Amino acid sequence: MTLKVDAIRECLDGVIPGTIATCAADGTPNVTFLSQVEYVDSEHVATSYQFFNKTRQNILENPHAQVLVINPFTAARYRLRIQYLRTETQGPLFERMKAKLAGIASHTGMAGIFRLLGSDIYRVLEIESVPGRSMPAPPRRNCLAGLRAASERVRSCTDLEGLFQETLAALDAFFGIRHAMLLMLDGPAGRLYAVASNGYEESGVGSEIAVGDGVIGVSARERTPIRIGHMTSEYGYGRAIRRHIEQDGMGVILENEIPLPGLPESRSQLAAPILAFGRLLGVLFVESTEDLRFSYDDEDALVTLAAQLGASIHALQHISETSEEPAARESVLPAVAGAPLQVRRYAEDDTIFLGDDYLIKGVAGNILWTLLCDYSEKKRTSFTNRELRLDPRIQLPDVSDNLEARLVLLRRRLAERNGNIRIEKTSRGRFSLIVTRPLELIQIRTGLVR
Amino acid sequence: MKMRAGSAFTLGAQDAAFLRIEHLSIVAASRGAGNIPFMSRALGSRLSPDNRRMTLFFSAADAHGLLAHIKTNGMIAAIFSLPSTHQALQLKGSDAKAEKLLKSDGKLVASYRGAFVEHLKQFGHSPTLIEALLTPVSDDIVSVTFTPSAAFSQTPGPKAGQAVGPAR
Repeated sequence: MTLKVDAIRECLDGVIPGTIATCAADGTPNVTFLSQVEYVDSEHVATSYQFFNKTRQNILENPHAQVLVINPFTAARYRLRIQYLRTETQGPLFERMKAKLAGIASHTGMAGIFRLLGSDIYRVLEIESVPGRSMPAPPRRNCLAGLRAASERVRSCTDLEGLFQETLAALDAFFGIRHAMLLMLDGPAGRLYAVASNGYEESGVGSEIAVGDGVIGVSARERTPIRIGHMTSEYGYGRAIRRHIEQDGMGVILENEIPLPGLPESRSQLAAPILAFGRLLGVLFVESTEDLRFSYDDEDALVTLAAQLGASIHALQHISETSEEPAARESVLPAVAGAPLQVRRYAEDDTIFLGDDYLIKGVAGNILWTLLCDYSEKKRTSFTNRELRLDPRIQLPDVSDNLEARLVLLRRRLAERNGNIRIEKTSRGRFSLIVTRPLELIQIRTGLVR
Repeated sequence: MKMRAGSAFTLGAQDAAFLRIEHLSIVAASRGAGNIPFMSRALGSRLSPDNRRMTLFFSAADAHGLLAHIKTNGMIAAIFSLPSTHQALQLKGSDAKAEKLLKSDGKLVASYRGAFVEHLKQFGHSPTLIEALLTPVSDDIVSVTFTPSAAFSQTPGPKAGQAVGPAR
């Protein structure tokens, strides 16, 4: 069987450096170590162009080159006869390699020296298995079997919150991935917000990261998976720095940021964009304290699972807003008792505080405020997704914004707080607002002093 | 930098000392018809006492292309790198030839393997893996000797590729 690159791609994960041989126009050979050989597809690889060196000069004169790579588990060696095609200096492949190179540089003490100028793309003409000793490959988790099991679990979900939870549970059960997070995109704000997580001390639901920041943000911006086997501070995913705000004139320090959860000793990270019908919906992110925890196979599995997730999110959003189930009988409202709970809303960015505790801001804050106003003024407790979508008081950032995801976030944040205000889903497309303490709604229109 | 056959190039003392470190990672390249290169990992090296001749050891089965190429044109490039510091030096030559093994070469190859395995242990590389990497399938060790006609620093960084001479 003719070997293709996909069969040997674990050799390209940068554990044992590969080497490249080139030849000048005058016939002088040249050989050097490579910090990175990236799998592009079964017939192409890319190497990192970092300096204008002899290798680069040679491939521009004579495109024929050879790469020697080593399987880090078996010591099997492969010689790839390759032909230089072109250099990319931006885009998904470039960003993938740049992120990975930063990890390799930091791991090998070369931070600040390795810097990606371009991704040199080569066609692989032939792969030779080098005669020599090798060891049997260690038994490994079968990602395809894991993917099938995860896929079956995800496809049975009938609502968004269940879908988020089941996806993270499936990663744990079938891939042994203990730390994972799901983030949704707020397109106009250029930010991603966490809607579910697994394995962290604090759920971090509601925390945000800018598109373009760290592994998660770059994956979203480039719509490409980013996988790092040796974590680096350069791509530390910008745990939201707690910013402090002062209440106008009062000098009271308040927080309105939820820190992004994360492993303090994270060594491997993988972010897969969640895409559906040409749109970016969010990012699926996993991490581990082990070096090189996620392989190319894991990346394939997560990218595929993210594709199914994207289609499911899209379908469930549509269903929740267009075909709600008939209203269930109004449940008996719980007794309202105790001292009034102050709910403050800062109009500037819809920041909501319950008592002195920051709850949420932005679109989810606006939704809650609208619900609480209706509750206070009209004693309403039952709502539908469809009417919220049409409510002029709630300004969703764009028509495709995932309202249901905003509600999942709000429900989770309320559940993680004091429990005096809750949102309970009653049936598809419908939910109830449950309030167990008298509320005092305070609108603050003056801007927050930051 | 073009190589001049029979040029007066000699390795500097510092470079020669570096090349005598036992646990260097060594890979050599040749080129065949159509300027298509070929590369093979060396299983050890020997620098002559006067620093003028470099001998590399290969598994013949592994280095088949290189052995065929040097028969035709003698062109060779070899990189020597110290894994712990990434310091690296590339030698070039145009008179590479397969030679008979000396009696002591077998020991040299075994000693190199041991030293390299020991050196890489500190980076978490499994000794069995490195041993496998440096052990030929059968006892088919061959030696290739050439006169270094140029040397280049290959330590990663913007200065990689600069020619080095005896003045260093």
